[in-house]
Amino acid sequence: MINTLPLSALQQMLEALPIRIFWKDRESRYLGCNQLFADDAGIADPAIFVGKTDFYFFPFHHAELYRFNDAEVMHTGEPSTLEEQLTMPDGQVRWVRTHKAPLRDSDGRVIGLIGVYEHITEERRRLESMRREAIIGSELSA
Amino acid sequence: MINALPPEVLVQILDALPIRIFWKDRDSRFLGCNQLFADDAGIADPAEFIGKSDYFFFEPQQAAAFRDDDADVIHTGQPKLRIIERLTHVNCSVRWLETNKFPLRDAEGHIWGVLGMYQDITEQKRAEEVRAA
Repeated sequence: MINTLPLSALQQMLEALPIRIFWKDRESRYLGCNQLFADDAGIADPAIFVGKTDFYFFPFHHAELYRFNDAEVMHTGEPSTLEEQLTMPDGQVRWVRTHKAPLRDSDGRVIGLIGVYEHITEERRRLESMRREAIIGSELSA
Repeated sequence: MINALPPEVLVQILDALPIRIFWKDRDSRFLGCNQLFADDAGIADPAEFIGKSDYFFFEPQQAAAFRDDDADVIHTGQPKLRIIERLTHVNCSVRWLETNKFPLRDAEGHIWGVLGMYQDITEQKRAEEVRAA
């Protein structure tokens, strides 16, 4: 149903969201990203990503995993949601929840992927402390 | 750079996100919504919304507040961003929402309606309360 909305309205909605968006070709080379995505990688201009791979921007072990996950989505053609780690420009490692979906041409062939992620470090911390409290609680009552 | 993406890709991205989307005409009658929006209101089929107003689905006070914001956007032509509001969910739980509203314009720039989207920020609010306590 939302495909009946004007293009400018779709763009406005995406720009208003605190989400990071990137898209890549079939070889996991960047085709584009939004400003928030570039900010997270410490890159001022989103255009710098075009044509480069994750190895250029992220630590080797993270880049390898991102590309492995990309390959799976493009190979199976199925979207996937996963939790990944991201090293921020200040060196801090943060958790993100990434949604990846295949990008298709008009004949339905997979030509790349779109990824979207949000930060979930706070959420994970809260769950972790709840889990810890539950363990302490059960030890006390034992 | 987002404007480089074809419309069907924008639709794919929006469909993949946990956001609720709805749009209305100048009189705040629904023209459409996505499945998540319908789910929140306890309505199975998004098509049920078409032609109806908020009064049909929500408590009068809430409906009036939603319509006030619509009217602001339609009359000023300015988006209204980060409206923090409460919604009584169909299962009676109260949810916190962060809503953005934008005017919908035709090719000549005339406003024909309002587009709204919201995210459920209840978990975030709770985490803030826990930290404050």
